Amino acid sequence: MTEIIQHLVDAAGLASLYALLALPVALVYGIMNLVNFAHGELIMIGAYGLFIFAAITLPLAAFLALVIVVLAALAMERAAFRPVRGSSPETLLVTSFAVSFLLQNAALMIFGSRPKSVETPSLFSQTVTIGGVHIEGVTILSVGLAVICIGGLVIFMKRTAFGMAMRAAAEDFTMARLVGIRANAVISGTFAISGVGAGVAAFILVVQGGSAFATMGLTPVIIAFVATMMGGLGSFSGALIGAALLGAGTVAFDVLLPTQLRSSREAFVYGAVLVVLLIRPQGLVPARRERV
Amino acid sequence: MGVERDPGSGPELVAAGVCVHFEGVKAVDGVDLTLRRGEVLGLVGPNGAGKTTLVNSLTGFETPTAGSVHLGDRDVTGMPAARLARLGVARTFQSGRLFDHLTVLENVEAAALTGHRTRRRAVVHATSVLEMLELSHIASRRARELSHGESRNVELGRLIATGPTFMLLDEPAAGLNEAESDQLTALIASLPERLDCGVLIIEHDMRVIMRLCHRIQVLDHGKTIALGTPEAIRADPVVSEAYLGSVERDAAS
Repeated sequence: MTEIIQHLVDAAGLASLYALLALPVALVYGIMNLVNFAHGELIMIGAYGLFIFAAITLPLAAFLALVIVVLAALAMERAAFRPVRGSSPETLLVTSFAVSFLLQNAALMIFGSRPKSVETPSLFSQTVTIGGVHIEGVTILSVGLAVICIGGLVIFMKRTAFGMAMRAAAEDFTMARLVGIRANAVISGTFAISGVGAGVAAFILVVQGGSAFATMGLTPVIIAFVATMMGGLGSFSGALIGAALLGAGTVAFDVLLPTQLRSSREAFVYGAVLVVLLIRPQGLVPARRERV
Repeated sequence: MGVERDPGSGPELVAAGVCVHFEGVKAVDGVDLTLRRGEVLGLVGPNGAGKTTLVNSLTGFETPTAGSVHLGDRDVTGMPAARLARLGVARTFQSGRLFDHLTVLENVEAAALTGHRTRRRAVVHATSVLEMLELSHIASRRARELSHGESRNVELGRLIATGPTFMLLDEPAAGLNEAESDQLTALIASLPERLDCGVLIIEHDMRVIMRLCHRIQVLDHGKTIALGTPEAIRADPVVSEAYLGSVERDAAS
Protein backbone atom coordinates (compact mmCIF):
# COMPACT_ATOMS: atom_id res chain seq x y z
CA MET A 1 0.00 0.00 0.00
CA THR A 2 2.73 2.41 1.01
CA GLU A 3 4.49 1.49 -2.19
CA ILE A 4 1.49 2.33 -4.32
CA ILE A 5 1.10 5.70 -2.60
CA GLN A 6 4.80 6.29 -3.16
CA HIS A 7 4.37 5.67 -6.89
CA LEU A 8 1.33 7.93 -7.01
CA VAL A 9 3.27 10.73 -5.32
CA ASP A 10 6.11 10.33 -7.82
CA ALA A 11 3.66 10.33 -10.71
CA ALA A 12 1.94 13.45 -9.35
CA GLY A 13 5.28 15.24 -9.20
CA LEU A 14 6.13 14.39 -12.79
CA ALA A 15 2.64 15.06 -14.08
CA SER A 16 2.63 18.50 -12.43
CA LEU A 17 5.84 19.49 -14.14
CA TYR A 18 4.58 18.08 -17.45
CA ALA A 19 1.33 20.00 -17.13
CA LEU A 20 3.26 23.22 -16.59
CA LEU A 21 5.20 22.43 -19.76
CA ALA A 22 2.23 21.34 -21.87
CA LEU A 23 -0.40 23.95 -20.99
CA PRO A 24 1.37 27.00 -22.46
CA VAL A 25 2.13 25.11 -25.67
CA ALA A 26 -1.52 24.05 -25.93
CA LEU A 27 -2.78 27.58 -25.24
CA VAL A 28 -0.63 29.15 -27.94
CA TYR A 29 -1.60 26.45 -30.40
CA GLY A 30 -5.27 26.93 -29.58
CA ILE A 31 -5.13 30.64 -30.31
CA MET A 32 -2.95 30.82 -33.39
CA ASN A 33 -2.27 27.28 -34.66
CA LEU A 34 1.38 27.69 -33.82
CA VAL A 35 3.28 24.73 -32.42
CA ASN A 36 5.88 26.82 -30.62
CA PHE A 37 9.07 24.83 -30.62
CA ALA A 38 10.88 27.85 -29.19
CA HIS A 39 8.93 27.48 -25.95
CA GLY A 40 11.89 25.43 -24.71
CA GLU A 41 14.16 28.44 -25.19
CA LEU A 42 11.85 30.53 -23.02
CA ILE A 43 12.54 27.98 -20.32
CA MET A 44 16.25 28.28 -21.02
CA ILE A 45 16.06 32.07 -20.76
CA GLY A 46 14.32 31.68 -17.42
CA ALA A 47 17.06 29.36 -16.20
CA TYR A 48 19.82 31.77 -17.21
CA GLY A 49 17.82 34.53 -15.58
CA LEU A 50 17.93 32.57 -12.34
CA PHE A 51 21.66 32.06 -12.83
CA ILE A 52 22.26 35.78 -13.33
CA PHE A 53 20.16 36.93 -10.41
CA ALA A 54 20.94 34.02 -8.08
CA ALA A 55 23.41 36.20 -6.20
CA ILE A 56 20.47 38.19 -4.88
CA THR A 57 17.95 36.37 -2.71
CA LEU A 58 16.16 33.53 -4.44
CA PRO A 59 12.58 34.85 -4.32
CA LEU A 60 13.68 38.09 -5.95
CA ALA A 61 15.78 36.19 -8.50
CA ALA A 62 12.78 34.02 -9.32
CA PHE A 63 10.59 37.07 -9.77
CA LEU A 64 13.11 38.87 -12.00
CA ALA A 65 13.67 35.74 -14.08
CA LEU A 66 9.90 35.42 -14.52
CA VAL A 67 9.64 39.01 -15.70
CA ILE A 68 12.45 38.42 -18.20
CA VAL A 69 10.80 35.29 -19.60
CA VAL A 70 7.48 37.09 -20.04
CA LEU A 71 9.22 39.96 -21.82
CA ALA A 72 11.11 37.45 -23.99
CA ALA A 73 7.84 35.70 -24.88
CA LEU A 74 6.25 39.02 -25.86
CA ALA A 75 9.31 39.99 -27.90
CA MET A 76 9.34 36.59 -29.60
CA GLU A 77 5.71 37.00 -30.66
CA ARG A 78 6.22 40.54 -31.85
CA ALA A 79 9.45 39.96 -33.76
CA ALA A 80 9.09 36.44 -35.12
CA PHE A 81 5.49 35.27 -35.13
CA ARG A 82 3.44 38.37 -35.84
CA PRO A 83 4.94 38.79 -39.34
CA VAL A 84 3.93 35.23 -40.28
CA ARG A 85 0.59 35.19 -38.45
CA GLY A 86 -2.10 33.45 -40.42
CA SER A 87 0.41 31.44 -42.45
CA SER A 88 0.13 27.67 -42.67
CA PRO A 89 0.91 25.69 -39.50
CA GLU A 90 4.01 24.34 -41.26
CA THR A 91 5.38 27.84 -41.85
CA LEU A 92 4.71 28.74 -38.24
CA LEU A 93 6.40 25.57 -37.03
CA VAL A 94 9.50 26.17 -39.13
CA THR A 95 9.62 29.77 -37.92
CA SER A 96 9.59 28.51 -34.36
CA PHE A 97 12.46 26.11 -35.17
CA ALA A 98 14.45 29.06 -36.46
CA VAL A 99 13.75 31.11 -33.34
CA SER A 100 14.68 28.13 -31.21
CA PHE A 101 18.07 27.59 -32.87
CA LEU A 102 18.80 31.30 -32.92
CA LEU A 103 18.21 31.60 -29.18
CA GLN A 104 20.15 28.43 -28.39
CA ASN A 105 23.17 29.66 -30.30
CA ALA A 106 22.91 33.11 -28.80
CA ALA A 107 23.00 31.44 -25.38
CA LEU A 108 26.04 29.39 -26.41
CA MET A 109 27.81 32.57 -27.48
CA ILE A 110 26.98 34.45 -24.32
CA PHE A 111 27.27 31.74 -21.68
CA GLY A 112 29.38 29.06 -23.36
CA SER A 113 28.57 25.39 -23.66
CA ARG A 114 29.26 24.41 -20.06
CA PRO A 115 26.29 24.34 -17.73
CA LYS A 116 26.14 27.23 -15.30
CA SER A 117 25.38 25.90 -11.87
CA VAL A 118 22.74 27.69 -9.88
CA GLU A 119 22.65 27.49 -6.08
CA THR A 120 19.21 26.68 -4.81
CA PRO A 121 18.21 26.39 -1.16
CA SER A 122 18.86 22.97 0.33
CA LEU A 123 15.23 23.07 1.42
CA PHE A 124 14.17 21.67 -1.96
CA SER A 125 16.59 18.74 -1.89
CA GLN A 126 15.28 17.55 1.43
CA THR A 127 12.84 14.71 1.69
CA VAL A 128 9.80 14.56 3.91
CA THR A 129 8.68 11.15 5.08
CA ILE A 130 5.02 10.69 5.94
CA GLY A 131 3.94 7.21 6.98
CA GLY A 132 6.76 5.59 5.06
CA VAL A 133 6.13 7.61 1.90
CA HIS A 134 9.09 9.75 0.86
CA ILE A 135 8.23 13.07 -0.69
CA GLU A 136 11.02 15.09 -2.21
CA GLY A 137 11.08 18.83 -1.78
CA VAL A 138 11.04 19.34 -5.53
CA THR A 139 7.91 17.19 -5.83
CA ILE A 140 6.10 19.39 -3.34
CA LEU A 141 7.37 22.42 -5.25
CA SER A 142 6.14 21.07 -8.61
CA VAL A 143 2.73 20.05 -7.36
CA GLY A 144 2.29 23.30 -5.45
CA LEU A 145 3.27 25.51 -8.35
CA ALA A 146 1.17 23.49 -10.81
CA VAL A 147 -1.91 23.75 -8.61
CA ILE A 148 -1.43 27.50 -8.16
CA CYS A 149 -0.74 28.15 -11.85
CA ILE A 150 -3.45 25.94 -13.29
CA GLY A 151 -5.98 27.13 -10.72
CA GLY A 152 -5.00 30.72 -11.42
CA LEU A 153 -5.31 30.18 -15.14
CA VAL A 154 -8.75 28.60 -14.84
CA ILE A 155 -10.00 31.50 -12.70
CA PHE A 156 -8.42 33.96 -15.09
CA MET A 157 -10.10 32.34 -18.09
CA LYS A 158 -13.49 32.14 -16.40
CA ARG A 159 -13.63 35.44 -14.56
CA THR A 160 -11.78 38.12 -16.45
CA ALA A 161 -12.66 39.95 -19.63
CA PHE A 162 -9.34 38.97 -21.11
CA GLY A 163 -9.88 35.30 -20.32
CA MET A 164 -13.31 35.49 -21.90
CA ALA A 165 -11.78 36.96 -25.05
CA MET A 166 -9.14 34.24 -25.07
CA ARG A 167 -11.71 31.48 -24.83
CA ALA A 168 -13.73 32.95 -27.67
CA ALA A 169 -10.60 33.41 -29.78
CA ALA A 170 -9.49 29.83 -29.12
CA GLU A 171 -12.79 28.55 -30.51
CA ASP A 172 -13.02 30.70 -33.59
CA PHE A 173 -10.38 33.31 -34.05
CA THR A 174 -11.91 34.94 -37.11
CA MET A 175 -15.33 35.21 -35.51
CA ALA A 176 -13.82 36.59 -32.31
CA ARG A 177 -12.23 39.39 -34.29
CA LEU A 178 -15.52 40.07 -36.01
CA VAL A 179 -17.25 40.66 -32.70
CA GLY A 180 -14.58 43.19 -31.84
CA ILE A 181 -11.97 41.18 -29.94
CA ARG A 182 -8.54 42.53 -30.75
CA ALA A 183 -6.22 39.94 -32.27
CA ASN A 184 -2.98 41.56 -31.15
CA ALA A 185 -4.07 41.89 -27.56
CA VAL A 186 -5.29 38.30 -27.32
CA ILE A 187 -2.18 36.85 -28.93
CA SER A 188 0.25 38.98 -26.90
CA GLY A 189 -1.60 38.06 -23.74
CA THR A 190 -1.45 34.37 -24.61
CA PHE A 191 2.29 34.62 -25.16
CA ALA A 192 2.71 36.43 -21.87
CA ILE A 193 0.86 33.59 -20.14
CA SER A 194 3.04 31.04 -21.93
CA GLY A 195 6.02 33.03 -20.66
CA VAL A 196 4.76 32.71 -17.08
CA GLY A 197 4.46 28.95 -17.62
CA ALA A 198 7.99 28.77 -19.02
CA GLY A 199 9.38 30.81 -16.15
CA VAL A 200 7.76 28.62 -13.51
CA ALA A 201 8.92 25.46 -15.29
CA ALA A 202 12.44 26.90 -15.51
CA PHE A 203 12.45 27.40 -11.76
CA ILE A 204 11.47 23.79 -11.13
CA LEU A 205 13.98 22.43 -13.66
CA VAL A 206 16.80 24.49 -12.17
CA VAL A 207 15.93 23.34 -8.66
CA GLN A 208 15.87 19.77 -9.98
CA GLY A 209 18.99 19.87 -12.14
CA GLY A 210 20.99 22.57 -10.40
CA SER A 211 22.13 24.28 -13.58
CA ALA A 212 21.28 26.31 -16.68
CA PHE A 213 22.56 25.33 -20.12
CA ALA A 214 21.84 26.31 -23.72
CA THR A 215 20.09 23.14 -24.86
CA MET A 216 18.09 22.57 -21.70
CA GLY A 217 14.81 23.52 -23.42
CA LEU A 218 14.82 20.57 -25.78
CA THR A 219 13.65 17.77 -23.52
CA PRO A 220 10.93 19.85 -21.83
CA VAL A 221 9.56 21.07 -25.15
CA ILE A 222 9.39 17.52 -26.50
CA ILE A 223 7.56 16.43 -23.37
CA ALA A 224 5.20 19.37 -23.83
CA PHE A 225 4.47 18.36 -27.43
CA VAL A 226 3.97 14.73 -26.64
CA ALA A 227 1.58 15.56 -23.81
CA THR A 228 -0.43 18.02 -25.90
CA MET A 229 -0.49 15.69 -28.91
CA MET A 230 -1.73 12.84 -26.74
CA GLY A 231 -4.42 14.99 -25.23
CA GLY A 232 -5.39 16.56 -28.53
CA LEU A 233 -3.58 19.66 -29.76
CA GLY A 234 -5.13 22.92 -28.70
CA SER A 235 -7.41 21.58 -26.02
CA PHE A 236 -6.85 22.81 -22.50
CA SER A 237 -8.15 19.75 -20.67
CA GLY A 238 -6.47 17.52 -23.25
CA ALA A 239 -3.07 18.97 -22.36
CA LEU A 240 -3.71 18.25 -18.68
CA ILE A 241 -4.82 14.70 -19.37
CA GLY A 242 -1.84 14.13 -21.66
CA ALA A 243 0.54 15.42 -18.99
CA ALA A 244 -1.05 13.22 -16.34
CA LEU A 245 -0.84 10.12 -18.53
CA LEU A 246 2.72 10.82 -19.52
CA GLY A 247 3.74 11.29 -15.88
CA ALA A 248 1.88 8.18 -14.77
CA GLY A 249 3.22 6.17 -17.71
CA THR A 250 6.79 7.13 -16.97
CA VAL A 251 6.48 6.07 -13.34
CA ALA A 252 4.62 2.88 -14.30
CA PHE A 253 7.32 1.76 -16.71
CA ASP A 254 9.91 2.64 -14.13
CA VAL A 255 8.25 0.32 -11.66
CA LEU A 256 7.18 -2.49 -13.94
CA LEU A 257 10.16 -2.88 -16.23
CA PRO A 258 12.86 -5.36 -15.20
CA THR A 259 15.95 -3.63 -13.83
CA GLN A 260 18.12 -4.14 -16.91
CA LEU A 261 15.52 -2.41 -19.15
CA ARG A 262 14.84 0.44 -16.77
CA SER A 263 17.47 2.71 -18.32
CA SER A 264 15.55 2.61 -21.61
CA ARG A 265 12.31 3.53 -19.85
CA GLU A 266 11.76 6.53 -22.16
CA ALA A 267 11.75 4.28 -25.21
CA PHE A 268 8.85 2.35 -23.71
CA VAL A 269 6.98 5.49 -22.70
CA TYR A 270 7.18 7.02 -26.16
CA GLY A 271 6.45 3.66 -27.75
CA ALA A 272 3.22 3.64 -25.76
CA VAL A 273 2.53 7.21 -26.92
CA LEU A 274 2.95 6.08 -30.52
CA VAL A 275 0.41 3.32 -29.98
CA VAL A 276 -2.06 5.83 -28.48
CA LEU A 277 -1.60 8.15 -31.43
CA LEU A 278 -2.00 5.31 -33.92
CA ILE A 279 -5.32 4.40 -32.34
CA ARG A 280 -6.44 7.99 -31.78
CA PRO A 281 -4.59 10.28 -34.20
CA GLN A 282 -6.67 13.26 -33.02
CA GLY A 283 -5.57 12.73 -29.44
CA LEU A 284 -7.68 11.66 -26.53
CA VAL A 285 -9.61 14.92 -26.21
CA PRO A 286 -9.66 16.32 -29.75
CA ALA A 287 -9.64 20.10 -30.02
CA ARG A 288 -13.07 21.36 -30.60
CA ARG A 289 -13.21 23.70 -33.48
CA GLU A 290 -13.00 23.83 -37.18
CA ARG A 291 -10.83 26.49 -38.62
CA VAL A 292 -11.58 28.73 -41.52
CA MET B 1 -45.48 48.46 -42.57
CA GLY B 2 -43.58 49.78 -45.46
CA VAL B 3 -44.71 53.33 -44.76
CA GLU B 4 -42.10 55.92 -45.69
CA ARG B 5 -40.45 57.05 -42.51
CA ASP B 6 -38.19 59.86 -41.73
CA PRO B 7 -34.78 58.46 -42.57
CA GLY B 8 -32.55 58.38 -39.50
CA SER B 9 -29.94 61.01 -39.06
CA GLY B 10 -26.22 60.39 -38.91
CA PRO B 11 -23.84 58.74 -41.33
CA GLU B 12 -25.04 56.43 -44.04
CA LEU B 13 -23.38 53.33 -45.43
CA VAL B 14 -23.03 54.05 -49.12
CA ALA B 15 -21.83 51.83 -51.94
CA ALA B 16 -21.17 53.58 -55.25
CA GLY B 17 -20.67 51.69 -58.50
CA VAL B 18 -19.45 48.59 -56.70
CA CYS B 19 -18.20 45.81 -58.98
CA VAL B 20 -16.92 42.43 -57.89
CA HIS B 21 -15.57 40.27 -60.67
CA PHE B 22 -14.38 36.69 -60.23
CA GLU B 23 -12.28 35.52 -63.16
CA GLY B 24 -14.50 37.12 -65.72
CA VAL B 25 -17.78 36.52 -63.89
CA LYS B 26 -19.39 39.79 -62.92
CA ALA B 27 -20.93 38.77 -59.60
CA VAL B 28 -21.70 42.39 -58.74
CA ASP B 29 -21.67 44.80 -61.64
CA GLY B 30 -21.90 48.46 -60.74
CA VAL B 31 -24.34 48.55 -57.85
CA ASP B 32 -25.23 51.69 -55.88
CA LEU B 33 -26.69 51.12 -52.46
CA THR B 34 -27.47 53.37 -49.51
CA LEU B 35 -28.27 52.07 -46.05
CA ARG B 36 -29.60 54.70 -43.64
CA ARG B 37 -29.92 54.57 -39.91
CA GLY B 38 -33.43 53.89 -38.76
CA GLU B 39 -34.48 51.84 -41.77
CA VAL B 40 -34.72 48.23 -42.85
CA LEU B 41 -33.52 47.73 -46.40
CA GLY B 42 -34.37 44.47 -48.13
CA LEU B 43 -31.91 43.05 -50.63
CA VAL B 44 -33.61 40.47 -52.82
CA GLY B 45 -32.99 38.67 -56.06
CA PRO B 46 -32.69 35.17 -57.48
CA ASN B 47 -29.86 32.86 -56.47
CA GLY B 48 -26.62 34.07 -57.96
CA ALA B 49 -27.87 37.65 -58.29
CA GLY B 50 -24.90 38.86 -56.25
CA LYS B 51 -26.61 39.66 -52.94
CA THR B 52 -24.15 37.93 -50.64
CA THR B 53 -21.19 39.14 -52.68
CA LEU B 54 -22.47 42.70 -52.37
CA VAL B 55 -22.86 42.29 -48.61
CA ASN B 56 -19.35 40.81 -48.52
CA SER B 57 -17.95 43.89 -50.18
CA LEU B 58 -19.90 46.18 -47.83
CA THR B 59 -18.54 44.40 -44.76
CA GLY B 60 -14.91 43.97 -45.77
CA PHE B 61 -15.03 40.31 -46.74
CA GLU B 62 -14.46 41.13 -50.38
CA THR B 63 -12.53 43.99 -51.91
CA PRO B 64 -14.52 45.51 -54.74
CA THR B 65 -12.90 45.26 -58.17
CA ALA B 66 -14.19 48.78 -58.79
CA GLY B 67 -16.34 51.31 -57.01
CA SER B 68 -16.26 52.54 -53.45
CA VAL B 69 -17.84 52.01 -50.05
CA HIS B 70 -18.22 54.94 -47.66
CA LEU B 71 -19.23 55.01 -44.03
CA GLY B 72 -20.32 58.61 -43.61
CA ASP B 73 -17.41 60.65 -44.95
CA ARG B 74 -14.94 57.86 -44.49
CA ASP B 75 -13.77 55.73 -47.40
CA VAL B 76 -13.88 52.16 -46.12
CA THR B 77 -13.42 50.40 -49.46
CA GLY B 78 -11.49 47.18 -48.92
CA MET B 79 -11.06 47.77 -45.18
CA PRO B 80 -10.61 44.48 -43.28
CA ALA B 81 -13.79 43.06 -41.82
CA ALA B 82 -12.59 43.16 -38.23
CA ARG B 83 -11.86 46.88 -38.43
CA LEU B 84 -15.16 47.62 -40.12
CA ALA B 85 -16.90 45.65 -37.39
CA ARG B 86 -15.29 47.88 -34.79
CA LEU B 87 -16.50 50.92 -36.74
CA GLY B 88 -20.03 49.58 -36.40
CA VAL B 89 -20.62 47.68 -39.64
CA ALA B 90 -21.39 44.11 -38.60
CA ARG B 91 -23.06 41.12 -40.17
CA THR B 92 -24.41 37.64 -39.65
CA PHE B 93 -23.59 34.68 -41.83
CA GLN B 94 -25.70 32.17 -43.71
CA SER B 95 -24.07 29.55 -41.53
CA GLY B 96 -24.35 30.97 -38.04
CA ARG B 97 -21.02 30.58 -36.31
CA LEU B 98 -21.34 30.62 -32.55
CA PHE B 99 -18.59 29.81 -30.07
CA ASP B 100 -19.84 26.26 -29.58
CA HIS B 101 -18.35 25.50 -26.20
CA LEU B 102 -19.25 28.78 -24.57
CA THR B 103 -22.65 29.32 -23.02
CA VAL B 104 -25.23 31.52 -24.68
CA LEU B 105 -24.50 34.29 -22.18
CA GLU B 106 -20.75 33.97 -22.77
CA ASN B 107 -21.23 34.13 -26.52
CA VAL B 108 -23.02 37.44 -26.17
CA GLU B 109 -20.58 38.61 -23.49
CA ALA B 110 -17.59 38.03 -25.74
CA ALA B 111 -19.18 40.44 -28.18
CA ALA B 112 -20.13 42.90 -25.44
CA LEU B 113 -16.53 43.17 -24.21
CA THR B 114 -15.65 45.66 -26.94
CA GLY B 115 -17.78 48.50 -25.66
CA HIS B 116 -17.71 47.49 -22.00
CA ARG B 117 -14.14 47.03 -20.93
CA THR B 118 -14.80 45.12 -17.73
CA ARG B 119 -16.24 41.67 -17.47
CA ARG B 120 -18.95 42.76 -15.07
CA ARG B 121 -20.30 45.46 -17.36
CA ALA B 122 -20.14 43.10 -20.31
CA VAL B 123 -22.25 40.61 -18.34
CA VAL B 124 -24.84 43.28 -17.52
CA HIS B 125 -25.02 44.35 -21.14
CA ALA B 126 -25.17 40.78 -22.45
CA THR B 127 -27.92 39.94 -19.97
CA SER B 128 -30.01 42.87 -21.15
CA VAL B 129 -29.52 41.86 -24.79
CA LEU B 130 -30.70 38.34 -23.97
CA GLU B 131 -33.73 39.77 -22.17
CA MET B 132 -34.57 41.89 -25.16
CA LEU B 133 -34.41 38.83 -27.42
CA GLU B 134 -36.37 36.76 -24.89
CA LEU B 135 -33.47 34.33 -24.64
CA SER B 136 -32.82 34.63 -20.89
CA HIS B 137 -34.13 31.12 -20.26
CA ILE B 138 -31.34 29.56 -22.32
CA ALA B 139 -28.54 31.85 -21.05
CA SER B 140 -26.59 29.08 -19.36
CA ARG B 141 -26.91 26.48 -22.13
CA ARG B 142 -23.90 25.70 -24.27
CA ALA B 143 -24.17 27.04 -27.80
CA ARG B 144 -23.71 23.63 -29.42
CA GLU B 145 -26.77 22.28 -27.60
CA LEU B 146 -29.13 24.83 -29.17
CA SER B 147 -31.75 24.22 -31.81
CA HIS B 148 -31.22 25.86 -35.16
CA GLY B 149 -33.75 28.58 -34.42
CA GLU B 150 -32.26 29.34 -31.04
CA SER B 151 -28.75 29.61 -32.41
CA ARG B 152 -29.89 32.02 -35.12
CA ASN B 153 -31.36 34.21 -32.40
CA VAL B 154 -28.24 33.99 -30.27
CA GLU B 155 -26.15 34.93 -33.28
CA LEU B 156 -28.31 37.99 -33.71
CA GLY B 157 -27.90 38.76 -30.01
CA ARG B 158 -24.16 38.50 -30.33
CA LEU B 159 -24.29 40.92 -33.24
CA ILE B 160 -26.48 43.36 -31.31
CA ALA B 161 -24.12 43.21 -28.33
CA THR B 162 -21.30 44.68 -30.41
CA GLY B 163 -23.45 47.82 -30.70
CA PRO B 164 -23.43 48.11 -34.48
CA THR B 165 -24.60 51.15 -36.42
CA PHE B 166 -25.33 49.02 -39.46
CA MET B 167 -26.37 45.38 -39.30
CA LEU B 168 -26.30 43.24 -42.41
CA LEU B 169 -28.28 40.04 -41.98
CA ASP B 170 -27.77 37.24 -44.49
CA GLU B 171 -30.94 35.12 -44.56
CA PRO B 172 -31.62 35.29 -40.83
CA ALA B 173 -34.87 33.34 -41.17
CA ALA B 174 -33.41 30.48 -43.22
CA GLY B 175 -34.37 27.14 -41.73
CA LEU B 176 -36.77 28.60 -39.18
CA ASN B 177 -40.34 27.41 -38.84
CA GLU B 178 -43.16 29.86 -39.38
CA ALA B 179 -43.61 30.80 -35.73
CA GLU B 180 -39.89 31.32 -35.22
CA SER B 181 -39.70 33.30 -38.41
CA ASP B 182 -42.57 35.57 -37.34
CA GLN B 183 -40.95 36.17 -33.98
CA LEU B 184 -37.62 36.99 -35.61
CA THR B 185 -39.31 39.31 -38.09
CA ALA B 186 -40.99 41.25 -35.31
CA LEU B 187 -37.70 41.53 -33.50
CA ILE B 188 -35.76 42.73 -36.54
CA ALA B 189 -38.50 45.26 -37.28
CA SER B 190 -37.98 46.79 -33.86
CA LEU B 191 -34.20 47.07 -34.13
CA PRO B 192 -33.73 50.30 -36.12
CA GLU B 193 -35.67 52.32 -33.59
CA ARG B 194 -34.43 50.54 -30.49
CA LEU B 195 -30.77 50.64 -31.42
CA ASP B 196 -30.77 53.61 -33.77
CA CYS B 197 -29.16 51.47 -36.45
CA GLY B 198 -29.71 50.61 -40.09
CA VAL B 199 -30.56 47.03 -41.03
CA LEU B 200 -29.93 45.41 -44.38
CA ILE B 201 -31.55 42.04 -44.81
CA ILE B 202 -31.11 39.39 -47.48
CA GLU B 203 -34.12 37.12 -47.43
CA HIS B 204 -35.86 34.78 -49.86
CA ASP B 205 -39.14 34.76 -47.98
CA MET B 206 -41.05 37.62 -49.64
CA ARG B 207 -43.63 37.54 -46.87
CA VAL B 208 -40.90 38.51 -44.42
CA ILE B 209 -39.42 41.09 -46.79
CA MET B 210 -42.72 42.79 -47.54
CA ARG B 211 -43.66 43.08 -43.88
CA LEU B 212 -40.28 44.18 -42.67
CA CYS B 213 -38.68 46.52 -45.12
CA HIS B 214 -39.02 50.26 -45.60
CA ARG B 215 -37.27 49.97 -48.92
CA ILE B 216 -36.42 47.04 -51.15
CA GLN B 217 -33.60 46.79 -53.63
CA VAL B 218 -33.83 44.05 -56.24
CA LEU B 219 -30.70 42.60 -57.82
CA ASP B 220 -30.43 40.42 -60.88
CA HIS B 221 -27.23 39.33 -62.59
CA GLY B 222 -25.21 41.68 -60.45
CA LYS B 223 -27.24 44.78 -61.32
CA THR B 224 -29.98 46.69 -59.54
CA ILE B 225 -33.23 46.18 -61.46
CA ALA B 226 -35.55 47.92 -59.02
CA LEU B 227 -35.47 50.01 -55.84
CA GLY B 228 -38.41 51.34 -53.88
CA THR B 229 -41.04 50.84 -51.23
CA PRO B 230 -42.63 47.40 -50.89
CA GLU B 231 -45.75 48.73 -52.65
CA ALA B 232 -43.71 50.06 -55.54
CA ILE B 233 -41.74 46.83 -55.83
CA ARG B 234 -44.91 44.76 -55.74
CA ALA B 235 -46.38 46.95 -58.47
CA ASP B 236 -43.23 47.01 -60.58
CA PRO B 237 -43.99 44.99 -63.71
CA VAL B 238 -40.35 44.15 -64.36
CA VAL B 239 -39.95 42.69 -60.92
CA SER B 240 -43.27 40.94 -60.51
CA GLU B 241 -43.36 39.43 -64.00
CA ALA B 242 -39.77 38.42 -64.32
CA TYR B 243 -38.80 37.67 -60.83
CA LEU B 244 -41.11 37.65 -57.85
CA GLY B 245 -43.12 34.68 -59.04
CA SER B 246 -40.03 32.54 -59.30
CA VAL B 247 -38.83 33.59 -55.88
CA GLU B 248 -42.12 32.73 -54.29
CA ARG B 249 -41.89 29.29 -55.83
CA ASP B 250 -38.33 29.04 -54.50
CA ALA B 251 -39.41 29.98 -51.04
CA ALA B 252 -42.28 27.53 -51.08
CA SER B 253 -40.10 24.63 -52.14
